[in-house]
Amino acid sequence: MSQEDQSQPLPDVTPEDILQRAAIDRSTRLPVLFFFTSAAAWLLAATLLGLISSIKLVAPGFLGIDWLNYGRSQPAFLNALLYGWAFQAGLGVMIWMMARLCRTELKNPITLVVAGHFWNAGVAAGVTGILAGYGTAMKWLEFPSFVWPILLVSYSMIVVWLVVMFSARRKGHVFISQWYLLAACFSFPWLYLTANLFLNVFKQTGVSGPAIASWYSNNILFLWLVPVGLASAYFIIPKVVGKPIHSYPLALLAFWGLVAIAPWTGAQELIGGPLPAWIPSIAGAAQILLLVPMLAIAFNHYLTVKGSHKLVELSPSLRFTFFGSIGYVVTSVSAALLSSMTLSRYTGFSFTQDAVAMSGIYMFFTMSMFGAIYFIVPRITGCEWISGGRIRFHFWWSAYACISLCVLLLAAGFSHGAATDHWDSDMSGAITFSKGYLIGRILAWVFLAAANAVFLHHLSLMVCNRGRKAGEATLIHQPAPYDQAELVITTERAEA
Amino acid sequence: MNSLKNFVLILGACFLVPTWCMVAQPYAAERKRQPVPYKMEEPGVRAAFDDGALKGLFYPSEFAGDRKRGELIYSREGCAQCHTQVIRPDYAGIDQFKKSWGKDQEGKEIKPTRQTVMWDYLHEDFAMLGQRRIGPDLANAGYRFEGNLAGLTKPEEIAAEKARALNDFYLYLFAPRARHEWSSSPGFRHLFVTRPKEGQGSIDALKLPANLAPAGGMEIVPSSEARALAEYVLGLKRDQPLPVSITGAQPPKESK
Repeated sequence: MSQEDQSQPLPDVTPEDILQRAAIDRSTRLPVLFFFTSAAAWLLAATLLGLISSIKLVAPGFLGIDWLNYGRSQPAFLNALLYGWAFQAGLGVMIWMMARLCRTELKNPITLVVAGHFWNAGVAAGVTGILAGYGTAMKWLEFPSFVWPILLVSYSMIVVWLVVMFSARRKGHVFISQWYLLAACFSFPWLYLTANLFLNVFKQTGVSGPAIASWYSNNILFLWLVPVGLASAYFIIPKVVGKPIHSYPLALLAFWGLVAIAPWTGAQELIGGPLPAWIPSIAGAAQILLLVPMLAIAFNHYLTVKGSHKLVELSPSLRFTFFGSIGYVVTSVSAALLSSMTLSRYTGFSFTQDAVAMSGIYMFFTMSMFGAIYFIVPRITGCEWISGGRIRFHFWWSAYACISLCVLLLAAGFSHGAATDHWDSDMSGAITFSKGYLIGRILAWVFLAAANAVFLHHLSLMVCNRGRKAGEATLIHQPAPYDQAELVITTERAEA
Repeated sequence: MNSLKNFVLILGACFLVPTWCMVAQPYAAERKRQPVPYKMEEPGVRAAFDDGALKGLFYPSEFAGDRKRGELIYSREGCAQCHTQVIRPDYAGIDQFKKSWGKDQEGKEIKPTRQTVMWDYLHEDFAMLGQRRIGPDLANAGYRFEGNLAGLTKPEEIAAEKARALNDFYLYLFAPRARHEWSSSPGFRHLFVTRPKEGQGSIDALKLPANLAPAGGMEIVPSSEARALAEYVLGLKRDQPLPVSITGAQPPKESK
């Protein structure tokens, strides 16, 4: 198929297609459910660690255990969230989508599950290591140094089969989601190997160390989380809406823009740091340039959904994915703002960096992954989600809490930075001024813990085969009667 | 571009160039960097030698004693999550003018704190620039915790003042809120040992307020890890004059 064909309506689904899809879903069932379940469990654990660390920042004596001091629980939380939840949820989505889009069955699910066990063991050892006091000071690489080979090897063992599936794909058109998935397959090993070689093996990095760590963490955000989240969005949105992507060439252009610009970013976090000035300058310029592909992607998503906004209200997958797409815009814009030298006076080394990280990991990536999981799990378990009410609860509590989390962190960062910006102030002003926002952040974590506990329970019931066995797909709301006709048309297409 | 091979080639090119520029090149430059010799006639150097503040003829001097181990404990405890070690130049922040962030603790001098440069972190495996600045900057914490030595001349007076300041530091580490009620720093009780007092007790025993004091006959002393950490933090003195070859400043002309 050439690119022009993309503007045609989706071809009709033949019975062979349906049989083949069922076979693909069966072949990916075991690893995908394994990754989703362990990811959801890690998500709840990370949420609780996040809750503890945010309490610890306001009341350092809380629980009275030195293992949970902010300096340990904060990196433990972030690494559990990133490597425990985000990577595993992403891997589950990658496996299923790659198989579906390449129209190939997964030949060796057991290998993937074994590698997944190693990954989980590595993350567990890493998080325990940080809490026990064996962590490092490198941003997003705080795991003790023995962990990284485990993670790297198990990740490579998983994605090598995705690349194999891609090269064995049915000939024809390559979807934009496949390019994103493929980029994610290669980007993590590249980033992780490079960062760990320099920081954990070669050592003696001096000031280049923090620059490398910032390069790594920012690129994990923009070259791994963003590609996987966007692959999912580019898959879910057309499926549920029943229309192809509005402009395929624009999507491709934005993809290459992202891949070419993002690897330059990262060091802008260190504006004013003891580095050659060209490093943060180029990184900051690249971060601002990333707004261009972001605008192209957001525009494309918006135009694809346009006219079907009713579905955002009804379909759980589309609702979460749509929210995630907005989260991507928020992440890119706030990351670009913080690259400004003028603002860095207040935002440098403050909670604003956490706000960008949380909007990237939570508001964008996590919400997109929820959307994908709500889409994928019914297809591979063969039963429907049990209750739309629980999905509604999950959505609203997550959405409310992650928006307030990011807003509170931004506000805390700015007030902290402004209070420090006086020559003879000690830290008391900064700590007192940001305290209210930080207490608010605790509440946001309580909400997220509730939402994620409900999600984990709902998902476990589905995995244990206790979902609804028959009937229509579970929607967030029961549609009003006059919406029914429109909905039937679109959900039939969505089955594709 | 529709083949895997082409995709991988283009992707590799996209990754390779920035990785070279943003990772490999800065690292190679760091490994090539050498301590820089002072020349005695440089401005500020003569006086600093007379002060005894400069230990060697090179900047920076090597990490001595337990400082390397202290650096490890600093990173393990996650100190860098809340404390930076950066003095940013004036275009990026007010750091250079903050009271007690430099050599002069009282903020009386008009001379600003020197901004940190690459050489300041030469002997570190990973420069602890820090992730957030919730607590005060520690780039020059060594001056803060060495005590008020101004005007002291007798060696025993200086030693007593240094011991008092060190004990202060341990108290900070053990119970930050005993000093500042508003502090959000955690206490690091696992770095201290409670043991029965022998004789007059240890000179390092913490002088705690009544509500935190141990039971009678017991004392709380820093463990070897806390001592290493103290050695590291007290060694953080970056507000030193730099050799001319780093700053590029010309020595002032001799007045006739």
